Amino acid sequence: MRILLVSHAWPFPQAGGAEVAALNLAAALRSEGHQVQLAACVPGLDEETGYDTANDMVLVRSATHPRSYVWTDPATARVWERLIESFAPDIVHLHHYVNAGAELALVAKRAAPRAKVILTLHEYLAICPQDGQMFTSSGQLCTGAAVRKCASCVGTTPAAIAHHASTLQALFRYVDRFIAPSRFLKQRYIDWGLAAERIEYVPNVVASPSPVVRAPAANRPVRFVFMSQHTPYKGLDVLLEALQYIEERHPEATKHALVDVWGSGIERFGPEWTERIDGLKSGLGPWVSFRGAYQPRQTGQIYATADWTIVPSIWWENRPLVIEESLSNRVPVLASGIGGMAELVCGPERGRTFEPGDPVALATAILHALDAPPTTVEYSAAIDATDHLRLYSSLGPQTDTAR
Amino acid sequence: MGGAKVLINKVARRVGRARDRLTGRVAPRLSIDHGFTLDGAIFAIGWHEAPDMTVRAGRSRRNLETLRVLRFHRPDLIPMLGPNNLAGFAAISANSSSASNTADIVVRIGTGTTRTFTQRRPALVAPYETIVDIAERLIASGALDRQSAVRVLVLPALRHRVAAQRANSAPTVCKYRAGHYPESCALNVVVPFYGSFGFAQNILAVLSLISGRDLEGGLAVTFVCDDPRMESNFVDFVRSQNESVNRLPLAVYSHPINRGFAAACNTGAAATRGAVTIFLNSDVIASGPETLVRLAQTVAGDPTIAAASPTLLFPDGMLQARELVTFENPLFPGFTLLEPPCKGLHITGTFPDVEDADLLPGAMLAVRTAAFDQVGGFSLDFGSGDFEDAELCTRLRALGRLVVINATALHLEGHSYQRKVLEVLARAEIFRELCSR
Repeated sequence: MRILLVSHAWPFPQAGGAEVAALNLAAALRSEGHQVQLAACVPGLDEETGYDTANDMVLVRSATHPRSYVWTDPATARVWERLIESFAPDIVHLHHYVNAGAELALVAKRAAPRAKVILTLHEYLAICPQDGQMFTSSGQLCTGAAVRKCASCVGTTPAAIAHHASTLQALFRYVDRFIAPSRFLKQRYIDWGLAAERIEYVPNVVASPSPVVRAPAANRPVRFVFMSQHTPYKGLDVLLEALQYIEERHPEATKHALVDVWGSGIERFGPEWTERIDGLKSGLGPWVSFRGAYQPRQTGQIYATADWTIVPSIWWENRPLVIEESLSNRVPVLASGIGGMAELVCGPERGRTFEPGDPVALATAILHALDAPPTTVEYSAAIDATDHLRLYSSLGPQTDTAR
Repeated sequence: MGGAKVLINKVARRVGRARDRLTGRVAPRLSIDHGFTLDGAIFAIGWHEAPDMTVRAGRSRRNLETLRVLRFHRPDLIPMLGPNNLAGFAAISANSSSASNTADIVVRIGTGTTRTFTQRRPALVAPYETIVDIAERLIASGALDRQSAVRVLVLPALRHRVAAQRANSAPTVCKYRAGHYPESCALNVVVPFYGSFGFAQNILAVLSLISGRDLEGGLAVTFVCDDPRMESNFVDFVRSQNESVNRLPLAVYSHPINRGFAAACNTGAAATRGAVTIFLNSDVIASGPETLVRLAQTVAGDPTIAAASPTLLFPDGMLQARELVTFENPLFPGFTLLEPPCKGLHITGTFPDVEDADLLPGAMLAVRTAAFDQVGGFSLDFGSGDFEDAELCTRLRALGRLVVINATALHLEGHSYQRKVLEVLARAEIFRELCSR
C-alpha cells in the first residue's frame, strides 16, 4: 500500500505528541513493507518544499489561519497537489489539520481521486477557539462548544465562531474516516457535529519499549519524572506547588524521593508564566532537577530510571503519549483524573489519578506512591500498525467520500 | 452687545415680513416648516423657491421648490428662539443673506420628482447618510416627529440616491471568469458582496461539495462585488482561492459604484442562464450543501412553485425567519413593516417538508429563473437593504407558490449590512407604495 503520511509539524528539535504519533506510525507501516512517504508542514520554510534527508521526510511550507485552519496562502494547494500526484498514494493520512490546512483533504481527493483520506484528530482545535484546549479563559474546564459561550470566552462574535465551525465541518466532508486516539476525544467531536459512523477509535502507535531492569526501590530514592512541554495547560505549576507543599509539610519525604522535570518551551507563554514558574522553582531543594528538552529516542533511558511518571495537565488531553510510553515501559502514572488521562490511567495496575489543578491532591498522591509497594504495570500499547491497516482496508478501493 | 441688539431689532422686523410670507400676504421665497437649535447652532427646515431650477406646468413655467435645511452658527440668537417660534426661525432664515448671518445649506433636496411636469434634475447637496444622520438628530432633539422626519427628509433623500445610482451609466464589468463557467446551467448561485468578504471561504467550500449527482445540469457560481472599495482585494482573493483550491465554475462581476443588493442580484441573475437561481447573502453560512441542493430540487421539481427559502437560524440555533408577514408595529405608528413570526424563539417541534409562505426572506432565496425574469427581477426602488425580497415575492406570487422547505441555514443577520431605523421606515413607505400599485 502506498501511504502519504502528513505530520502537522516537523518533529525536530522538540516533538509534540502528534508528531511522534505520525513518526511511530510511519515506522510501523514501513516495517510491514508498505511504501510510506512522510511529509511535515513547516510554516515559514524558505522554499515551497524541502527534504529532510536524515529522516526521509518531505517538508512543505504550509501554514493556517489561527482559528479557521484554512491555508493563509491558497497557493499551498498546488504544492500539495504536485506532491500527491507524484506519489500517487492509496491512502493520504493526515495527522492534525493545523498547519496542514483543512482544505488539504479536498485537494487530496482531487489529486488522487481513488485515494482514501484519513484524519487523525489531535486536540480540540476545531471545537474550541481557546487554543483547542477546551479550557475557558476564566480557568474552567469546558464540556462542549456553544456559539455564544465560545464567543464570549475568546472575545469574538458568535458569527465568527459559527463561521469557523461551519467552514471546518464543510471541509471535513472530504475526509473518508476520522481517527480518534481516545474515546473521550471521539465523543467530543461527535458532540460537535461529526457523525459517529465517520469517526473510529484507534490508539496511536507507540514505539517499542526498551528492555528495563530496574533496581529494587527499597535501596534507592523513588524517582518521579515529569515529561512535557512547559505550557500552562500541562500543569507544571501544579506540580511545583505540590513539591513545595511536600517540602513544607513533609520534609522527610524529600530524602526518599527525586523529581526530574523534563521539557522546555516555557518562554513561548509570556513573561508572566515564566516569572511564575521561576518563582516556584527557586524555593525547591536539590531533590528536584530541571533537565531541559529531550528527544523521542531518549525516552527509553528516562523511563529506565523512573519509578513514577507525573502528568498533572489541567485540560482534558487527548491520549497523552507520555502516559502511553510510560505504561508501555512499565512505569505507573500519577495523572489528573479527567479526559484522556483518566481513560488511560484507569486502575491501580496503571497508577493513580488525582483532582486536576489541586497541588495538595497531587502531593498526597506522591506521598502515597512513596509509601506504596511497587506497582506491576499491566498495559499493552499499540506497537504496530495493525489497527490502522485494518481501517485502511475497511474503506475499500473505491468507497466514495461520506458526505 | 450693541451689535447683537441691532441684529435682534433687525430680526424682529424680519419676523413680521416672514409672517406675511407664511400667511400668503407676500409671495413666499422661503417658508420655514420646522426650526430647532442643536449643538449651539440654529436649524431651519423649509421650502425654498429655487431660481436655478424651473418646472413647467401646462403653459406656465415656475421655479421649483426645494426642501432646505439651513444651519446658522449664531449661539447669541438662540435665547430669542422659544419653542415653536417658527416666525423667529423664518426671520433668521430670511436674514441669511447678510454677511454676518450666512447659513450653511446642509441639505437641499429637490422635490416634484413624482409630479407630472418636467424639471431639471434637482441638486442634492448633502450626502444621503448625512441627511439620515440629521433626521436622527432632529428626532432626538424633539424638533421633528419620526413620521415627519421619514417623509420630509429621509424618503426624498433615499429617492434621490436611488435616482443617482440608476443614472450612473458606468458599466458592470466581469472581473474574473473561470474557464468552465457555463452559458447555461441547472443552478446559478448568485452571491452579492458588500463591505466585507470574510465568509467567502465558507461559501466556496460548501459549493465545492455540490456534485453532479446532486444537480443534473450543472452549477454556476456568480459573485457580484457591489463595493468598489474592496473590489481589487476581493477579486484577487477569489481568483487565487478558486484557481488553487476550489476550481468552481465561478465568475465575478463588479459594479463601479454601490448599487445595492437588488441591483447586484439582478446582475448575477443575468450573468448566465440557470433554470433555478439562488440568491445567497454573503453572510449565510453552512456546513454542507444539502440546503442549497434541496432548494434547487424543490423549485426545479414542482412547476407550481415560483420561489423557495429554507428556515433561517441565528448562529446559536434560534429561529430567525421562515417567512415574512406585514404588520403594524405600535412603536412606529403609521408604518407597515415586515416581521418574521417567532423570531428569536427556540425550535422545539418539526416543520413540514414544504409549507406555503406569505412572503419569503431573501437571505437564501431560490427562484424559478423564468418567473424572476417575467416579473422583471428585483425592484431597484429600495436602493439597498430591505424590503426588496418581500416586494419581489408579492410579484412572484402571481406566477406560483412561495414555499419554505424544512432545511436550515445560519444567517449572520446584520453582518453584511447595517440598517438605521429611519432607513427601514423610508423603505417601508416605498414598499407600501409599490404594493398598492
